[in-house]
Amino acid sequence: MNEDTILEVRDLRAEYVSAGRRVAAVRGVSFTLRRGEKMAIVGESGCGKSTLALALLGLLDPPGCFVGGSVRLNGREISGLDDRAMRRIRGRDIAFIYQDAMAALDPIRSIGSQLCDNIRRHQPAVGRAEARRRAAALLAAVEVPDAERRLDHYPHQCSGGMRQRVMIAMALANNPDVLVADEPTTALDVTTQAQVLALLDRLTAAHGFGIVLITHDFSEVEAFCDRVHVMYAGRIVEHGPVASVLPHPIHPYTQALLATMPRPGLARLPAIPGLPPDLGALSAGCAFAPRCPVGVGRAICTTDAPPPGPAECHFASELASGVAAGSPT
Amino acid sequence: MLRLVANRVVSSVLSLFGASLFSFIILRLTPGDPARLFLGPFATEAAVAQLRGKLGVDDPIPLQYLAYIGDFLRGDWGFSYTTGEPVVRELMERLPATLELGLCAFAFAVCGAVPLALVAVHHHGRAADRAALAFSFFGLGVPTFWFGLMLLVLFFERLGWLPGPDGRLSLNVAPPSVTGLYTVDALLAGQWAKFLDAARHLILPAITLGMAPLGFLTRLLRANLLDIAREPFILVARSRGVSRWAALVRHALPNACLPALTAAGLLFGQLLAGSLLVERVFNWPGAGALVAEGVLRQDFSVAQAFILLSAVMYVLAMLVVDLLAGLIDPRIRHPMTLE
Amino acid sequence: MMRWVGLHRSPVLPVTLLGGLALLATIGPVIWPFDPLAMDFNAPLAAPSIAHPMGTDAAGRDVFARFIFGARLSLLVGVAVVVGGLVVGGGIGVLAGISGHALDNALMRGIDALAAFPPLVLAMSVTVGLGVGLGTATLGTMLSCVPLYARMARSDILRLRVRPFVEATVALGAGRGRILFCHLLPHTASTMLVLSASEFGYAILTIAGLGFVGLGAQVPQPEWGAMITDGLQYALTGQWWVSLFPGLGVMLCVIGANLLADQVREILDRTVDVDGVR
Repeated sequence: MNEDTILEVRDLRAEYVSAGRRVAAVRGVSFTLRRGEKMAIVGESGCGKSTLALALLGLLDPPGCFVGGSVRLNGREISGLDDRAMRRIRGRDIAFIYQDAMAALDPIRSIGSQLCDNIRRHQPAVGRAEARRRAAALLAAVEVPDAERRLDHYPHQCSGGMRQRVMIAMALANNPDVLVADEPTTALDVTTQAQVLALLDRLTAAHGFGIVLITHDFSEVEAFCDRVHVMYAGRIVEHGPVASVLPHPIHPYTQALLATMPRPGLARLPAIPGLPPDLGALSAGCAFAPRCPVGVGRAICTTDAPPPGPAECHFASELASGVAAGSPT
Repeated sequence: MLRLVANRVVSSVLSLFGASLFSFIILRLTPGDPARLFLGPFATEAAVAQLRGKLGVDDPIPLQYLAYIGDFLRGDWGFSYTTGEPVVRELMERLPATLELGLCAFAFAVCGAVPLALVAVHHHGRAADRAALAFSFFGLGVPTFWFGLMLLVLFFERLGWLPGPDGRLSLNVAPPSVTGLYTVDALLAGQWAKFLDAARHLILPAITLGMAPLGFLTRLLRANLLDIAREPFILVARSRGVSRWAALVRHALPNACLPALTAAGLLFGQLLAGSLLVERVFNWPGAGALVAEGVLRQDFSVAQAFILLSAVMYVLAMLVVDLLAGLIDPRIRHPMTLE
Repeated sequence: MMRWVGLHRSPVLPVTLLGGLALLATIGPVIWPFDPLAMDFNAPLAAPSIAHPMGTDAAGRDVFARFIFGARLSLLVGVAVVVGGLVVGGGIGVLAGISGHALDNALMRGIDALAAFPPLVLAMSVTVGLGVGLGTATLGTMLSCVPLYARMARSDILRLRVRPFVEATVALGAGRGRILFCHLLPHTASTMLVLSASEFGYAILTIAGLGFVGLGAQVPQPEWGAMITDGLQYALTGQWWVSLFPGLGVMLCVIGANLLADQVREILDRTVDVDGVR
């Protein structure tokens, strides 16, 4: 294991119990995150991305449940830890940013009090005055103007972008190694999105933490991330550096997903035919088979699970060479 | 903010006006001649006629209403038919007893509801939750006066652990009166034995009176907590290392209490009326018992005063609670000032 | 039946409680043919036994027979209060909801005046004003239910008024009456149902309370509240049964009603669609 690796996930599995059925939301996800690296997990709604985030933090409450696999943070196994041990890790070594900052902040407590609370929880030696100073410094670091005054404001008195910055500040309060961001810019307008991403970029460079960015927006991935993992029906169906996957996607799903991105000159937005699969009733073969243009008429797609690899498809090599030859999607 | 206050005050005044009108109408329908009722069956015609004139019974109705309101505001609430004393004096004498009982009952309800609701939510879906729910249903469904009686049968008659329905104190002399609340007065005067005695006498009546509010508040708080526990900020708080229990107590509870505050205030406003029944069971010398006796003896002036007083207290309680809620919720205190 | 599967608590309990009491009330006098008013001074305050399953009171009257008749009274009165409150309160609320600003305001001010009284006090004032007795007690209790019914009906109507389906119905040319009866009222039915179940319990409690103070049923009517008062002075000298059983009756009725209200609400919540409309 590389010294630079801060997060190593192997075969993570999690499921929900819903109306008496067991629904496998995360079916064996593996990835590695290095210091200073920005990785993306992309997928449609319902593919299991948020469950994955919660599972990483050990926050899967019933009806969700962590089933198996390994999560190593800085070499230390955290997947089986009890809640008390996890509490020391959450917020200190691994932090979480939620998509809706308004809903993520306690509406009746001031920003300063929430920040200070956070700081003093994991660094109990810090006194009140010192905590307040650090809180103001954090707000300044996330480029909130007039930080000292902002400490006494309440969440509803800030704009959306401001609240998101406050959330980032809270996440970074204790210098975590990993930041898990669940669709952090979904609730923001385009300009603010760009600003927040740029901020995250600068912070990563300055502090050297790794980011797991969960998103459904490829343009964000393109602009911001180093590596991308495409998730479908609970599995990572393709992964690799952004620079190679985005221009030359191999897996049919990735190709289809990229094709749905709005581009100038496109007359109509193509949609992926069919619906996301029912995770409670998956068949033995490839989960994407019912919607896959490549798998039409090929029996192996419905009977056998595709072999693991950078692109999980029975015909990965075929497609890869087709891609190398420059054929369009 | 000022507009909010003004709005609520106007609303309350209107409610009071309507309530006083209703009270006046209903009580003018009381059968019998108030003058004769007051003076008794042996009074002479002349005396009755004189009293009728004084009471203004034959004046036009609107005038009577104005006199009624005027008298009430001035503190002249008529004279008790049975004792001849001014009603306001009698009620005021008895009010501290009711207040002490009400405050204890309220404290019992609140101090019981908060931990019950927290435990229920923390163990949501499991035995503790069901037990708390069952208990709150019981509290809401049991007739208070009967429950008080059964408590007496158990703890006084059978077990002898607590004093019986002999009022506020066993030893007859009250502590020197500062607030009228025996427990507080005894503490202030340093009379430890009296304090204990007064407190022991308070236990059963306070539990009886507080049972229904306890049941109600537990259910309400539990429902609020469950709703709030589902909100993202609780999850996010936990993602920062806060334990489930701490997240409940420090983040969910304050948010859940806001809407419960209004209900709690209303409950307190109703305690005056509720004490009516409990005071009878325990022979508690409070305002409620006074009214209950009065009603049974057809002493309508007492009933009249009590009815209007209850309405006033209820409306005031609602007003105070609304304003308090406005003060505490920062979303109302600091309206959005986007920059 | 299938919809009951998966409920936290099944409705078996409240239905059994209330159904059992109702059954007792209706066929009780047939299977236990004792006169609730018959006094027997040879056996006053007799403890529960085979001959008198709930004992006798101070005048020798059989408590069980009185319990059965008390059940009848309480259940009937409860229904009367609820129906009255629903018709009057619901009616006012609906009227306020569909009317213009002025009428709405006027009606709600009147409701606020009623609501300014703590419920028991309101019921009390009516009995004091109009004369004591079970009839006036019922009327008073009904009046105290009216504000809640009115407010809920009005808020339901106001909420539904602005829904697209109403506009659509108007666009199709339906008249106001039709809109009201065929479209708006059915949607309020579920809230009214839930409210009625809990008001039923409340009504029984209040009537018993009034009976306890002597404002409701008068001696020797076998109403549960009055029966508790009858037994008050004997309870602490060892004759606990006179007061225990009627109180138990009230409690079971009210708990049953509250549980039922809860269940009905839970069942109806499952039929709520995305927008919150049933």
